[in-house]
Amino acid sequence: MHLVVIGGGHAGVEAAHVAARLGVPTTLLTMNLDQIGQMSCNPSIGGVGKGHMVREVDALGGAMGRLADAAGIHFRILNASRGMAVRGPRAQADRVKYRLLARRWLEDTPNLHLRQGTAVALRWEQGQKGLQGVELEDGSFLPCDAVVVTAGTFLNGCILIGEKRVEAGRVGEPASRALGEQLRALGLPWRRLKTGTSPRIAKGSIDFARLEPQPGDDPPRPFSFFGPAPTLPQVLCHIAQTTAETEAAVRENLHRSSMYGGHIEGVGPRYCPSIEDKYVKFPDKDRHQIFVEPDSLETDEIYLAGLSTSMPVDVQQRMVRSMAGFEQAEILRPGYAIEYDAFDPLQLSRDLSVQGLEGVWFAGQINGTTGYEEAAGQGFMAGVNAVRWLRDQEPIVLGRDQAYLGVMIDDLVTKGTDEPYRMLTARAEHRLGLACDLADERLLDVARSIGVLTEEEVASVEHRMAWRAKVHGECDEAWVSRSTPFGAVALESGLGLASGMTLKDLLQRQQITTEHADALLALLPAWMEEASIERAWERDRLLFEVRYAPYRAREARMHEGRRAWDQIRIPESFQIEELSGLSREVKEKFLRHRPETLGQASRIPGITPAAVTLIHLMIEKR
Amino acid sequence: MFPPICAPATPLFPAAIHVVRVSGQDLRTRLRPLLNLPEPRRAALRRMSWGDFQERALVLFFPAPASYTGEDVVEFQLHGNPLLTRRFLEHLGTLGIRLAEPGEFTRRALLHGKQDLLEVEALGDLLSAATDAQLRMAQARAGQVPAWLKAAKATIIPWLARAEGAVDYGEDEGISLDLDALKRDFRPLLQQFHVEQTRSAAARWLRDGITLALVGRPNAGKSTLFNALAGEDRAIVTAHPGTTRDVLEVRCEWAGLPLVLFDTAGLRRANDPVERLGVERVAPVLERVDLVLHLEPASDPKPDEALLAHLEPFRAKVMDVYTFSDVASAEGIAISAATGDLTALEKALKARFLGDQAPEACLGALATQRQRELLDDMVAQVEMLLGLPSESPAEVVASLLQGLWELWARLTGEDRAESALDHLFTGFCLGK
Repeated sequence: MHLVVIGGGHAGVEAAHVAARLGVPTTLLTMNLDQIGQMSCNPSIGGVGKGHMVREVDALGGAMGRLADAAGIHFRILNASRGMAVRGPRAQADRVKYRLLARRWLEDTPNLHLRQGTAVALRWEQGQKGLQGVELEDGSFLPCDAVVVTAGTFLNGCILIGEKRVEAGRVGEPASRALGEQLRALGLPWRRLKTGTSPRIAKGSIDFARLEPQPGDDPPRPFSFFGPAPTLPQVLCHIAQTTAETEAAVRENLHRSSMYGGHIEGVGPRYCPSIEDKYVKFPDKDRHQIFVEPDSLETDEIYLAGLSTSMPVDVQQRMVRSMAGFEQAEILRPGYAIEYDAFDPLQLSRDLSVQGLEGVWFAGQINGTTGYEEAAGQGFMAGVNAVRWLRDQEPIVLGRDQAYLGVMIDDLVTKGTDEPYRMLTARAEHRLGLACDLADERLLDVARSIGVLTEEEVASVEHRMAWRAKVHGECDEAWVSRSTPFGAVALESGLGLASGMTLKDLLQRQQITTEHADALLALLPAWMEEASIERAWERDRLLFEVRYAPYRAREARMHEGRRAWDQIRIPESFQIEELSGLSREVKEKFLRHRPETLGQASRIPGITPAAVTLIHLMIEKR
Repeated sequence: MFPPICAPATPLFPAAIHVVRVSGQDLRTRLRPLLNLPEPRRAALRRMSWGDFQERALVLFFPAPASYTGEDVVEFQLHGNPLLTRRFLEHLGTLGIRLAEPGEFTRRALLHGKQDLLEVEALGDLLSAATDAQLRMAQARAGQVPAWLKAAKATIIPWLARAEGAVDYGEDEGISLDLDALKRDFRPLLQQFHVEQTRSAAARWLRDGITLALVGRPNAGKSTLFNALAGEDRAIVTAHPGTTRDVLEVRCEWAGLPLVLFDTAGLRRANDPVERLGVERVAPVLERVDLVLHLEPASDPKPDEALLAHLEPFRAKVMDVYTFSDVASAEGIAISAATGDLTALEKALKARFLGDQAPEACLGALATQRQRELLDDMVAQVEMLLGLPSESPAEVVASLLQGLWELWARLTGEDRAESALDHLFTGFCLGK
C-alpha cells in the first residue's frame, strides 16, 4: 500500500503527515523541497473562522496549529469583543522558520518520504480505474494506490504584474502544466481563479515611529491544545493608512493594472480584495488600513497586508511611498496577481475523492478555496479519507454542526463556489456551537476514530472535560443564600437573592462581572484544586456555556428537523430525469451538484424546498 | 397505479354549495352506478340517487391528463348541506373511492407533473397541508410573497449583513452593531408579526369552525340562545359520536362565523325538565370546546356555586354572557335572544376569535399549520432579539438574525442562497 501526496503546501503537509501517522507509507512529492510549508501570501495563520479551523485540525491531530505555535512571533485573539464563539486566534508566523519547521516535522514523521519532482500525469490500469501511480517529469514513475493532489496555484499558474505575464506557480517558481492538462483532458470541469499578494518592503526603509503600533497578546495564546507554548521572541505589528495620494496613484493607473487592464480572466475573492478593487468598488471610503507585518526574524522583509495589487512596479512604488512612514520605503518584492486552474469541487464526494477518478483526492486551492487554513483542513481530511479508503473503512464526514471543517467541505461539494472560497463564521449556521476553544471536546470522538492523537493527548482532553464537568456540577449544587459565601458576592453585585438560587443561576445574570465570577468560582473546591489551568480562560468559557445555553438551544432547534435529512442517502440509482413535476432548472442543479444526501440537496441554491419534498417522497416510495 | 380518491374541497359547514372532488383512473366506468359523466369540461346537471338520498348536482368532468391531478377528475357541486355531503362521500366509499389523505390531490398533481413547484410552494408545504381545502384557501396568495413578508426581509437583511460584518470583520474594519437601533427597527416588525398571527388564527377559526358549549343554570336562556344561533340549521342535528345522547353537536353559521355548538342539556322537548348533567359528562365537553358560554340571567345574576366549580379548570375559555337584557340591564356581554339583540355576543366572539379582523381580511393569511408554526417561531426569534441585554456580543445578534432569516426563507420557500453574504460584501469594504 502506498499513498502519494502531490504538493508540499499546507494541504499537502497535512495530508502526508496524517496518512503516514496512520501507518500508510506515504511519499510527498514536491517541485521544490525548500518550499515545503511555504506561506505564499501574508505571513500569518488563523483569524476569524480560519483560526477555528486551525484549532479543529489540531484537535484531530494535524500539524498546522503546532507549527504556527512554534513559528509564531506575534499572537492575537481577534474578535474578543464579538463573543466567545467567534473569537479567532491569529498569529504572525515567521515565514522562514515555518517552512523549516514544516519540513523538519515531515522528516521526523515515520512512514513519510519526501521526494523532489514534478508530477506530469496520473496513470490508471484501465480508463480511470485501478490507479497505478504518478509519472514524473524526470522520467521516473512513483507507483501508488491512492493520490492526494494538492497542487495549490501551480496548475497552469500565471503571475501578473501590470501588463507583464509570466508562467509561474509562485513568484520565482515554475508552474505545472502537464498535470493540469491531463486533468482538464479527463473532462473535469475547471475554471480560472485569481488571487493576489502585496508588495514586501525593506524594514530599514520604514519609519515605524509614524505608524500605529499593534502589540500582540501577552502572554501569547497557542493554537494547539497539545503542543508547547510559543517560545520565539514576540515582535510588534503596525498599522498604516492609505492617503489621497495612494488613491490618486491607483485611479490614474487603473488601466495599467492586470486586473482592470483586461489581462485577467479569473475570478478573485471578495474576501481579500486588491487595493484597486477597494477604490473602485467603494469610492466613498477614502482611507484604507494597511497592516504592516514582519515576515521573519531572520530577514528584514515586511509584508503590507491589505495592499494586494497587480499594478506595475512603478505604480506600486508610488502607492507604497504615499503612506505616512513609507516615504523612503524600498520594495523588496513587488506584489502580484496570480491566476490558476481550479477544478469544480462539485465533482468531489464528501470524502474529497474525485468522482470518476479512482484513487484520487483533491485538497486545497485546487478545489477553489483560498487560504492556508482552508487548505490545511481539506488536506487533513483528504489524507484521512484516502487512508480509510485504502483500508476499506467508511469515510469520515464531519457534520456542519460539528466543525467549520464540516461546513467548508459540505459547502464546497454541495454548493460549489464561484469565487475563491474563504471561511467566514457567517457560513456556519451552528456558529454558537462551534467555538474554537471547544474544538478539543467537540471533536474528541472523531479524533478517536481517526486515531492520530496519542493516548496522552486523548487523556489530556478527557481530563479537562472531567474537570469541567465537575465544576459545572459544583455550580449546580452551590446554593446562593445569605448563609453561604456566594450570597455575599451576589449582594455586592447589586443582585437580590432569590430563594433556591444556585451558583449557576447566579452566573447567568449579566450583572455578574468577570471579577464577580472569579470571586465566586474561587469558592469552589473543584475550581481551586486544578493548578495547571488558565483561570481567566476557563472562567470565560464557563460563562459562555452557562449564559449561551438558551441561544445555543435555539440555534440547534432551528436545524433539528433538517439534520435528519443529512442521514437520508439519495440512492445512486435515483433518476431525477424521470421525475415529472420538477422544473428543468432543479433537475440541472441536481445533476450538476450530485448531492449524496437529502440534506445536501436541500442546501443547493436553486433546489427549492418543495423540490426537496418531492425528492424525499420519491426516495421513500422506492 | 393510484387508487381513486375523493375529498370535499369546501368546509363542511352549511353553505350554498359544497364541492366534492374525485380523482382516479377511468372514473367514467367507476362512477357509472351513480351517474353518467357529462362531456369533458362541460358543466351539466345530473340527478343522482343512493340509499334514501337524492340530489341534483352540477357535475364537471376533466379527463386525464388535462386535469388538476393529471388523472381523471370529477367535480360535484352539491347543495351545501353537511349531512348530505357526508352521506355522499360515504357512498363514494362504497364505489371504491376512498377519502383522500391530507394534501394527496396536490401530491398527485406533482407526481403527474401537473403542477409547477413554484405554485405548490406558494401553497405551503404540501406534506403538512391538513386538508385539500386548506390548500385552496392558501391559493388566495398564490405565487407571491405577501407584502408584509417582503417588508420583513427589507428589515432583516441589512441588519443581518451588518451583524455578520461586525462578527467576521468587525474589529479590524471598525464595523459596529448598534443594538438599540436594531431594536427600534425590529419593534414594528414584531407588531406586524403579531397582526399576522391574529389574521392567521382568525383564518383558521373561519375554516375549522369554533366549538362552543352553552352552560348555565336552569332558565338561564340556554335553549333560546341555542335556537337563535342554530337557526334553521337545527334540522341537521346529529348525535356526536363517542358521547351520550345527552350531548348534541350542531354545526351552523352565524354572523359569518362557522360554529359548532355543543348543547349539554340533552334533547330538548318543550316539557322536558332541564336538569344539570353530572360532571363526568360535562367535563369532556368543556375540555373539547374552544369556548364556553356561561349564561346568567341579567335579572337575577346569582352565581351557581356548583356550576362555577365545574367551570373553574376552564376559566380561561369561559365567557360570561348575561341574558334577558331586555328585562334587566347588565354590565359586560348582555344579550336578548327574545328581541334578537345578540350584537354584544357577536362583537365579543369576533374580538376573541378574529381579533377584530373582518372575515374577508383573513383571506390571504398564512393558512397551514406549518406556516403558522414558522410564524410563531419568527415571533419567538424577534422577541429573543428584542430581549437581548444591551451589552450582548455581536455573535448572539448574528445568530438570532441568521435564524430569523432561515425561518423567513422556509416560510416563503425562497432560496436563501448567499444573499446575506452578498449584501455584506456589497455594503462594506472588507478584507485585507
